[in-house]
Formats: sequence, C-alpha cells, structure tokens
Amino acid sequence: MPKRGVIAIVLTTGALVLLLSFKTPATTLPTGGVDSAVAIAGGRAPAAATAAPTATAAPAATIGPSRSATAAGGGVPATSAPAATAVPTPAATDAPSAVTSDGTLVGQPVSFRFGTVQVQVTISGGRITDVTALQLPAGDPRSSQISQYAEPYLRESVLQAQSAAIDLVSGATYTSEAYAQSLQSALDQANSQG
Amino acid sequence: MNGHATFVIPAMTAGIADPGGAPPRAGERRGQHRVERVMGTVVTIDVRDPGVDPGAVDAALAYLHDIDARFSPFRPESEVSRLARGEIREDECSADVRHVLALCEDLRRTSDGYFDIRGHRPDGRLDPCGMVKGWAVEEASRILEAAGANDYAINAGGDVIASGGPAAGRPWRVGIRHPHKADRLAAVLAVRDRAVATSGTYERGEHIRDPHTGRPPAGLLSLSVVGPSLTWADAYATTGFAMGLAGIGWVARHVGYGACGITADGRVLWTAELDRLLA
Repeated sequence: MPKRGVIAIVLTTGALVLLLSFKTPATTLPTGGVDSAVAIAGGRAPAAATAAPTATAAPAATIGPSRSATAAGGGVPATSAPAATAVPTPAATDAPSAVTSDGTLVGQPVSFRFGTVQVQVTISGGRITDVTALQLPAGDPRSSQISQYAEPYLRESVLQAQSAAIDLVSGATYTSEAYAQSLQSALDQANSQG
Repeated sequence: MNGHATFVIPAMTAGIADPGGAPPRAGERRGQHRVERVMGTVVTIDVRDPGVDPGAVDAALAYLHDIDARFSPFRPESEVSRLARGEIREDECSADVRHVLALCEDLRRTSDGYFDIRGHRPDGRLDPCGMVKGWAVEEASRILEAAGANDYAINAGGDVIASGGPAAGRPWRVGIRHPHKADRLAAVLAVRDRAVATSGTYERGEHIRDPHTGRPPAGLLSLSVVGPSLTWADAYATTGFAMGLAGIGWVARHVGYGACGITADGRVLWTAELDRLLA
C-alpha cells in the first residue's frame, strides 16, 4: 500500500510552533495540512485547535507520552497529565520569515523538558511536502521515546480501492447479516480458487 | 490460481456466516475455525496451533455470550440496563461491570470527555459498548492462551486480535476495509501479536457522536488503531474517531499504538508506528 508517494505533513512540537509563528498569506498553505497539524499536535478537535497560537502552544507540548502501563495490555491509558511534563519554551526569538513561494523553511529550535526540537519544512506547489527534524532530543530512554513522537509522524496517500491476499478484515462493526454474507461469498470464492 | 487465494470480498450475495477470515493457504494447517453470532455481530476464532482443546474455543465463545448477557444495553435484563434504569447501584454490580466502568471513566478523563459512555448516544443512555467488546474479546483470548494457543486470530465484527502467525514465518495479513466499497480494501497490515480495531460511520449509520457537539464527527470516514491490547485499540478507535481528524494524532500519543485514518476527502493518513506494518 501507499508507502510510495508518501507525504509527511508536519507534526512536531517544533513544527507546530513553526507553523503558527510564520505569517502566512492565506493562499500559501494547504488548509488540510495546517488544520490537521495543529489539531493533531494539540490532540484536540480542529475547531478548538485553530485558536490563537498562544492557546495551542501548551497542548502541543503534550505530544510526549507519559510512561504507559497500557502498552503492556492493561491499566490506565497513557495520557494522564502529560501537560505537566513538557511545557515548551521557545528558545529563539527570531521567527522564520513568511513564505510566499515554494522553498525550505527552517523552524526555530524549541526547547522543552526533554531536549530541543528543530524542524525543516519543505513547501512545494503551496503544499507541505516534507518535514525533517534537524534536532531531536537524544540520550536517556525517556527522551528517545519522546523523540520518536517528535518526528513527523503523519503520512499520507490517496485512498485507493485495492484487493490483496489477506487473512482477516478490520472494519467498523459490521451488521452481522451483511458482513456474514459478503465475507462468506468471498471465502467461497477463495476456496474455489485455492 | 496458484493456491494462494486472493481474498477479494465481492458484493453481497446469499451465503452463510463465516466472516472472520480467509481459509489457510495451500499447505498451511487448518486448525480450528469457528464462527459464532454474539454481541450483535459475528465472531470468528481461528486457531492454527495443533492440539488445542476444542473445549477452550467453546469456553471462549461461551464467555462472550456471558459478557453479552451482562453488559448489553440492548437486553433489558442485563446488569448494564438495570444500572441505567437505576434498579441497581454501581457498587451492586459484578466485579467485571465495575472494572469496565472504571476503565471507561479513566478514558473519559484522559480523552477530554471524547470517550463518554453516557454522552455519545442521542438518547443519552448508558452504553459502554465502546469498551466492552474489545475488553471481552481480549479476555476470551486469554482462555485460548491458557489452553496453549499461540498462533490464532479472533475477528469480532471487524475488531481483530492477531496472535503469532497463521503459518511458520508469516504474519497475519489484516485488511482495512474501504469505507465506500465493502468489497475492497483501503490498506493491508502485516501483524503479529497485535490488535486492530476500526471505528467508522459506514456501517450501522452514524452511531458515534462527538459528545461535545452532539453531532457525528467531521473529517474521518474511519479510524483504525493498531496496538498491543484490543481493549485499548477498540476504545481508542472509538475515541479518536469522535475527535475527527485530530483523533489520529491523539491515538499516536499512546505508547505502542498507531492509527490509520481515512478522510472524507479521500486520503489515507497514518502514523509512523504503522510504517513497518503496512504491507
């Protein structure tokens, strides 16, 4: 599947600050990219996340996950009180210049509790086509874990209808009749081909 | 064909229920393959290990029926229905019900209210289904494992546990259904020891609502979550879907969990966690 043509769209604390901080002409950035970047970094609904930059900077810092009992398969979810663990402090004051055309933007380095993040965004055809991390925190395991999340993590491709050899299907809870009928006929077909 | 069946789900035709998965490929063990209608959907258990007591599969399915009887908001005599009507207090419920309600409350708090078992239905009725199914299936999987199963899959109406592999050296291949075309896939994941759960609006109407707005969430047609626990993969899929686009990132904040969202404008978005799993 859609590994080819991957477009990374944003998503680091640094990228968030970067995106919020440059004064963008209305036509420059794809609304989808920016909206989802802000929303995802903030972990909030798009409507809430399009508020003023000062309001969204704090939730952006909650990207760093707290230590998780959940990963082992039980206990409470991993997001408890992340806000207290990573409050970003912009380390540089000079905001990147506004972009009016394609090119590469280097964001300001942003320090937070586990290190400094600095990203570079490539814009082509008015769309963000790549985000790379120039600086990421490293060192202790906790920082490494957060680094993983500070890297741009949202990839995109065009939705395509495909078929492939699979063992199971995951989908929104099926009405049993439709699900059963559809899949049974598929199994019948698979059996007849096998 | 060459014996490796291409599993294309065609448009609906008459048939009998066996929905959970494709048969073993040529040369692969058949194992035990069981299908049961329970919890308002169809559950398939596919055990590939030899020598697992069929009684364990019976017990796992019986467990799901028991959970359904106690938790279903659609059964008037279930504990959950009696609790919703005020006939019993929460502290009078069984340990299982209290445990699941506590999980729901934890997630309500850490999801900024997006997971709310009292807020997502139009009638405001208590409905813990967003937590119960994944939890119950995960509990049922422990029954199989206690009987020695390692290579098995359970598909509970689209929520999947894929343990071990279907054959030596091969991971389970889990297709993510295309939201518009029931006979096509939007993506394929190759997984071992992972749970995959999907929430969406394309089946059963728009039954997930944003508890803050009372309306169906915007932006996503479906959200699939992959992680180590089906309890949380299922609950996170429900929660993240209610958040709309932002839900993809919200899921990714949980260590070990990744998400794949399909947007209303025809894009597939996924988190780095899934890069190595997308086949």
